[in-house]
Amino acid sequence: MDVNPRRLVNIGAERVSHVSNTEFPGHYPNEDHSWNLESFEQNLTVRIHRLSQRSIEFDLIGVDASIANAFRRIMIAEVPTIAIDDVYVFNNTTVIHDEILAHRLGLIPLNVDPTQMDTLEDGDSPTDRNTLEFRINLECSWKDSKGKSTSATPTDDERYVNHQLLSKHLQWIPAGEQLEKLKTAGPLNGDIVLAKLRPGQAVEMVLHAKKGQGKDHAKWSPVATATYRLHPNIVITKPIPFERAEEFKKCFSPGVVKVDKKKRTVQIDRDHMRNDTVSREVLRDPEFKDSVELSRIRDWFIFSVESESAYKPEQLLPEAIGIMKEKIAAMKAAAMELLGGEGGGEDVVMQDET
Amino acid sequence: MNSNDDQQQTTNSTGAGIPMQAPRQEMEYLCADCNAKNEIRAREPIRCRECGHRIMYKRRTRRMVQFEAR
Amino acid sequence: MATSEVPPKVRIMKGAAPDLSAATYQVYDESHTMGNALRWMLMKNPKVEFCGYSVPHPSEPNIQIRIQMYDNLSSLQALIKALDDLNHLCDSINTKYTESLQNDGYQRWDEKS
Repeated sequence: MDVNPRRLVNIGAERVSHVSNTEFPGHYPNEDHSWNLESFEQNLTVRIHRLSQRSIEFDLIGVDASIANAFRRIMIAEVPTIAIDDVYVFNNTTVIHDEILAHRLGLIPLNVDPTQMDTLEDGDSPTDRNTLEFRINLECSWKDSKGKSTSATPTDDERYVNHQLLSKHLQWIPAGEQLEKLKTAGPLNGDIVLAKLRPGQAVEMVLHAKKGQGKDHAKWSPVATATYRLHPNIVITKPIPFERAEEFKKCFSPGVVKVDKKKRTVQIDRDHMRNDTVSREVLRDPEFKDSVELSRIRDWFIFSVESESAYKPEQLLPEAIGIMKEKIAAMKAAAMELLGGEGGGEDVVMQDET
Repeated sequence: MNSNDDQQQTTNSTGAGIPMQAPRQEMEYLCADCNAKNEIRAREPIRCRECGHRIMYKRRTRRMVQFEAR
Repeated sequence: MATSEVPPKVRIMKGAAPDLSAATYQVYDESHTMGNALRWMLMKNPKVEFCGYSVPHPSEPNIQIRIQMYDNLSSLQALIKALDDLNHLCDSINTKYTESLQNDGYQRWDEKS
């Protein structure tokens, strides 16, 4: 895999160079780098690498950092989700203060499809289309036996009833059409401990969940992380002495260097090159530092996205692309309006000049 | 934070002439030791009628308090 | 705070050339997300002499995009073209992603939560 050197970000022992892309019209003589959808599509590769129930890793190859970064930013801050936003406390005699408990409740990821709900705008009143209601009603008490019969050192479970407020204690109160539209609503994980209780302590609350975006508060962010890194590129330029093969191998992440004991060769495993962290450890060795070239591929983005919301991990990029298109449409509509207003003026100016 | 809205309303509205406050009822106190209900009156020693403990807690308000989960 | 006027989405700032061959556009409720992507797409246009963007203040939801054109062409037309091109770019990424999701033999694994 010989990569076009123009695509490489150079990594030296103490500096990183050739960071920005230079393929713009006018930069290279006799080369056309103006926007062309066909050549862009030819260069573009999108490849899903691994997928689980809660995370995805995919490669986006052949785009500029500004585009990859736009999708990353949208996934974090602009893909909407549902989260608890208003907390009405009727009683809370636990040791957790109302403010802290309210904050914790807000951070619970809810399993509600955001496309089924509207955003509650400023000045609107809550309706069944934009607000979900939950209730908490929990009181801790002693077990009849107080746990004495079970063991000398009884656990909390053996001594008390309801000694923990868990996310599964949220009861959904469906309003209007909500039951037909959503079927179910509740926390994605029912075992989040929100407060600990002792006999006599109680919590009684009404909660309102709303649709929002991560840019207003991180509780509405659909992802735990959405990051990308550039694909590493490691080239051995001079043969590595076989006696030092193991030392060389240890300079890289596991699996990156292949040592063939029969042929007595040291090579880079291309399939595992993506796992390297590019630690530059190899450049600290006086003998190795001139035998290897480290770099990253500027237009090869390895995205890693962890969903922490109702979205499946593989849904997040299409969702982000959709929002990007909405933003483009909103800006275009405004620009067209300007064009309509300025259009007449422009003609007059042109006529004056001729 | 608008957590004190309710309390402010009651105190402010007395000035506006709306009798929001019910005729002053005796405040309930809970013994810190035996959890028995007690009342505290002026010029009387603060002492639990059940166990004689001298520390009392005020019961939490049952008024609704609103918070933003942020 | 009753119904406060929402600022226009795109506004041409003072000091633009009368023929709009050089102009600064202020875009309301946008950030680096659109700013940098648009800047890149505008720079891909050979008729654009200069393009840059800035976020004047981090707590105000505005960006400013400066566009200067060759041959007295309209920067507004270039902006609209860049928006159209970005839209196509989004479509082709979406198509390729969906294809990969349907066809590729990617690794599926079980992640405990």
